[in-house]
Formats: sequence, structure tokens, C-alpha cells
Amino acid sequence: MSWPSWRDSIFALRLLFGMVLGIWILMQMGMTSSSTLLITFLTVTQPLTGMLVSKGVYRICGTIVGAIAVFVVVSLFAQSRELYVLSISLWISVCVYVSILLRDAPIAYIPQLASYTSVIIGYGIVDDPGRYFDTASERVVEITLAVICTSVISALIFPGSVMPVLKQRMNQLLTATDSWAARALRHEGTGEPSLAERAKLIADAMELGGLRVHARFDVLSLRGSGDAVVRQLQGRIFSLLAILITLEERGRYLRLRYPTRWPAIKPGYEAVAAIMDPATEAGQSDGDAIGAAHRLIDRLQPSLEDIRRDDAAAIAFSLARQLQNVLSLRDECRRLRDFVVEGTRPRIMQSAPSDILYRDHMSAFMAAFAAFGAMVAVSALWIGTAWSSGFYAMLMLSVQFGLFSGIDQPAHLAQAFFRYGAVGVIAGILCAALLLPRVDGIVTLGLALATFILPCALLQPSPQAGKLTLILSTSFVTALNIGDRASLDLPAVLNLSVAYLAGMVFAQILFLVTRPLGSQWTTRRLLKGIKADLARLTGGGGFGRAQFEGRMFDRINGLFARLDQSSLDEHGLLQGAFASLRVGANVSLLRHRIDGLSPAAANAVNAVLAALDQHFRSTRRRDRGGRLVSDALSQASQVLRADGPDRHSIAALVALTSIDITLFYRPSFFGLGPVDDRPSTQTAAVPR
Amino acid sequence: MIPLRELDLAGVFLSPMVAYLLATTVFIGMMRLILRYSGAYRWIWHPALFDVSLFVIVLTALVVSKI
Repeated sequence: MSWPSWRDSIFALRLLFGMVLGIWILMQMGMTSSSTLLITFLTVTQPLTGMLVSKGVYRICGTIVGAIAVFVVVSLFAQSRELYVLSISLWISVCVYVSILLRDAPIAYIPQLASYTSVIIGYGIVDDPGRYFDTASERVVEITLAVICTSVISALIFPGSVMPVLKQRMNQLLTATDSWAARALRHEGTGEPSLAERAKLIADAMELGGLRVHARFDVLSLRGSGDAVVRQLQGRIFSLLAILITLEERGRYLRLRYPTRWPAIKPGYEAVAAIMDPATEAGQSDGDAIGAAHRLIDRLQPSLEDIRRDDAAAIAFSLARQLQNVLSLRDECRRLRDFVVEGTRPRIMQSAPSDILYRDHMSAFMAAFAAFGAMVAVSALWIGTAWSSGFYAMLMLSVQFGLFSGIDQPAHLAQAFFRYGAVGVIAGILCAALLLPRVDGIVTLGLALATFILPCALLQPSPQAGKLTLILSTSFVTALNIGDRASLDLPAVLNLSVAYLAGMVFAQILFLVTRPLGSQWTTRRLLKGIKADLARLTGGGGFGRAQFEGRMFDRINGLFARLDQSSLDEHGLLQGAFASLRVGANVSLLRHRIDGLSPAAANAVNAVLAALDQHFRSTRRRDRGGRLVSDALSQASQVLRADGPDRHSIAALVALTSIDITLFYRPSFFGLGPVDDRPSTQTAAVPR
Repeated sequence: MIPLRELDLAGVFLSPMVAYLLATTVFIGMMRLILRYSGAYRWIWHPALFDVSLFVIVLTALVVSKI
């Protein structure tokens, strides 16, 4: 871990200044409790203004949604405590469900906030529902005040705009893609290193989506149509990565399986690699070099007659087309990047997929069910034992279920939360006992807070320590529970702290009981989702190619985070996921070409799509021999070969050949049994 | 005109300051639109500082004109 930079110091001072200012305004308004305000400061304040404002706005929205939900529950069930508790628990599970569906998107903060806001307001007034308006408005005011204070301070004092970060990430991503592509096209990197680089590129491209959302709150030019430009850039980068991965793998296949065909296409690979290589002079997107490469690749394309006769020629043809696509997509990516930087937009905008994240309803439902059970169980304990501070345990439980339900093993994080939370609480009690009695004004209060908050805030921007220091500092201010009171109420602070820690222990135990499945289960869900998406694509379920690619990359990103690349089986799964991407691309190509085919050929292609659809839809793990798919594919190839060599039938033939090779190259991943005379990972002498 | 007394919102009483704040926000929102489209922000060193100062000036003017 590196030492905090001067920017981190400014961040820490800004945070502390904001907190003291917030408390001062709150005291001027005559409000007593300030822990909500301080926690909002701690969680919302970010080094970049855009991130801060987006988080702040979502926090306010989530609080208002939660407050409205409690209003409905109070109006309906204020007289019946059981129904009251049940309906709030149900509401929390709905919030957990929605937040898991939204996943990492910044907007998922709204349901997360709505879930525990309803506990804070709803359970806080369970004995006296008449206090609803006071409690709800106090919380909304504290949160809004904190968000406004911290936004204004961070916009005024050394503002950190998202735009330079977005610009830097875009440039880095494009350069990294170029240098990886240059090596991949020359077949320099093979196996794991290349796969690890791919993983990094995909993760960076996914991250661009998150930055885009934050940038909208900060950079005027990125609102409205500017936002679509970034979305489009992200989609183009995904397409570029997909094509490059195909070129790398299919090129290696051609080289090893049809060594005589490879030299014919190799100059094309080298020309594109030379253009993309950032180390060479030609890497500076030289227009002439690109034109020359296009002409060279045109000359390398096999004749249509060749393609009809020979599988290898069909592969070489598709590779030549893909090489040209790489050049045009790369150019397009650069142009879109320039538009984003200049804050303008292209005259003609193509549609960009707005929704590229996959959604897993089953996982969301299970997590929501677990949250419901946990809330009901601890509520029963609270009511049954008439525990006076039980509210704080409930609060902690709902915070943890609200925030951590989306991750694979929430119990681990809950454990870390308990450890760091305990340290924060002890520090808070010590500060309340030793320092608070000496506080006589806003300046000394700031100094007392600084003893613990300042070191934590210095580490908060660090990616490694950020989350843990946030747990430390939020636990600290909760235990401190600063109020506008003359004398310290130590028993109250102790009671609150014990309940707070008990809530953390409950959360950990309940996560262990209700969420024991871990990352293997998520991996299985991701793989199942890949099959389901392929089925949707083959079945023609209104699925654009860009959307498919985005979702697949999102899943592959999830798989990379969970699978061990050094294990042979898991490595195979990752490669299989990439292969699915290629199958999907070729299926959309087939769908696109089907209208231009002769009736007989169109029927044969439809039969292939139907066979694939049936295969991917089948819940059985293994289709017997994959015979149905294999037969349909060879039948369609024969029909297309018999047809005249027109543009559509050649394109369809190339797509069919690609699907055939990809599926039967990894038969176990696609649930196809081995079919005679076909090379697969098991039989062909092709390195991984 | 905004009266200097508590606002009654279906039985919930709000401070008159809320009305001033809302009115100022709407006014500043329109001002920002005009300034943005006229390109005036290009001539302003610190746009955020300018916005906050404008907000304080307008809010103060509104409140003072009522006292």
C-alpha cells in the first residue's frame, strides 16, 4: 500500500471540514442527533465530484423511497405489530431483490438505501407511529444537508472532475487493446498471459460504464446525447475485443489444422498487427498504411469458388473480413473517443445498447428470501426478549443485508465488518468518554473528530483499504453518537454499541446459514445464463448483437473474477465462454442473411437455428452425441454449397462453418457429445 | 409573492425558508441554462464558485426583501 498523496490529504481535510460545517448547521437548526449526517458524509464523500454527486443524489432518492414505503406500512398496519414487522421485512426483501438485479450499477444504491432507511424510520417508531413525520423528515433533512454540504465543498475546493479520469481510462483502454491485439495477431502471447490480459481489458471496458454514469453528474457535455457517445464507444470496444479474440483463436486453429492455408492469410495478420502496434511508427493511425492494409487483405481473400469447396477457405475468408472489421472498428473507437473528449457528438448516431448487464432473477430471489427470513427471525428475537436497544441490532442487520446481499460470500465481508466495526466502536466509546467532555465549541469538536476520522479519511481513497476504513469510521461515529447534550450518557453509548456489534454477529451467522452457496454456485448460474442467452439468440427472441456482446462480456468478466485460470477445468470454462461469444456472433450473422437466401437454403439454415435453439434450451446436461445439431449443420452446408456463389449464401456458409468448428472444438462445454471425425480440444493437437 | 409564514402542506408545516430555497433553485436553474447556452461559462474562472455565490446572493436578496 502506498502513502497517501496530497490529493488524499485534501480529500481528508475536505471531509472533516464538511462534517464540522454540517454539525454546526444542524445545531443552528435545533436538531440534536447527528450520526446520520456524519455517516452520510463518510459514505458519500468521494475524491471525484461526479461520483460524489451521483452517490449523493441516489442516497437522497433511496431515503425518500424508503420513507414513502414506511408511510404506507404505518398507515396500513400501525395497530398490528406482527403485520407491521412482516411488511417491513417484505419491503426489505423487495429492495434486496431489485438491488441485486441492478448489480454494480451506481443506481443500485437507491434500493440499498431504501431498504435500511425503512428499518431506521419504521422500527424506530414502532412504539409510537405518530412520530413518523418527525423521524422521516429529520432523516431526509440530515441526509440532504450532508449531501449538499459535501457536494458544494467538493465542487469549490480543489474539485476533482471525472472527465480527466474518463479520458485517461479511454486512452489507456484503447492503447492496451492495441498492444494486446498486436501481440495476439502475431501469436506471440499464448495461453494464460494472453487470457489474463484479455480479462484486464474486459474489466476495464466494463468499468467505463460505471464512470460514464458518474461523469453525467459532473460534466455538462456528457448529459443527454454525450452519454450515448460513451455508451456507443463501450459497445464498439466490446465488438473490437470480440473480433480480436476470434482472430486470435481462429487464426491459431487455421495455422495448426490447415498449415497450407495459413501462409496465404498471414500477411494480412501482420499488416494489421503493424498498424495496431503502438511501438511502430505505423501505430499512429496512418491513413495510407490503413488503406494499404485494406487493399492487401482484399487481395488475400480466397475466391468464392474456393469457399464453396473448402472449409479452410471459408475460414480464411471470414478471417480476412474480420481483419478489415478490426481496422474500421479501431478507427471508429478513436473517433468516438475524440467526440467524448471534445464534448461533441457525431452527426449520425447509431443506436447504442442501453442495457448491457445481465440480470439473474434466481440469485436475486434467493438473496431476497434470505433477507426476509433474517429480518423476521431477528425481529422475533427483539420483540420476544423486549430488548430495549434491539433496534440498533436490527439496523445493523438491515444495513448488512441491504449492502452485502449481492456478493457471493457475504459472510466473509460480514466477518470483516465485525472486526473493523468493533475497533471503530471501541474508539468511539473512548472518544466519547475521554474527549467529548472537554469539547466546548465547534472547533474543539472538530479536533476531537479529527483524532480518528482524519487518519481513516486519508486511507479512504485507497482501493485496497478504502472499504475497511469506511467501516472503521462509520462505526466510530455511530458509537460516538454526538448530541447537543451537556453531559455524556455513557451507559446509553455502551448499550448502543453492544446492540450494534450484536447486529453484526447476527448478520454474519445468518449469512452463513442462508447464503452458504459461495462462488461456485454463481459460476454455474453464469454458465447457465450463457446458454440461455444463446438459446434466446437462436430462437430470435429480439436480442441485438451489441446487447448480446455486452451481456456476454459482463458474464465473462464475472467468470474471470471467480474462476482460477491455472486450473485446467476452469480454464476450459473461460475459453468456452469466449467460444459462446463467437457462436452468438455467427448466429446473428445467419439471422441477418437468411432473407437473401434461396428458399431451400433458408429452410436448411432455419433448421440449424431450430436445432441449436432446442439444444441450448434443453435442461439436460448432455445431448446424445450432438447428432441433431451436427446433422443440421452439415445438411445446411451442403445446400448452401450447391447454391450459386452469391454474397448471402457465401456469408451464411462461412457463418455455418464457424459455428460448426466452434461448437465441436469444445463439445464438453456446449454439452455436445463427441462426434466422429471432428477435432476437439481432446483430440486435436492445438494448444489451449 | 411568497409570504413570510409557515407553509401548510396537507397538515405538515414547513419553514418559509423551504419556499425561498425552492424559488432560488428554480431561478438559478434558469440562469444556469441561459449562461450555459450563451457560452458565458467559458469566461468564468471557477463555475462552481460562481454558481454558489449567485445562489447566496439571490437567496439573500429574496429573504431581505421580505423582512
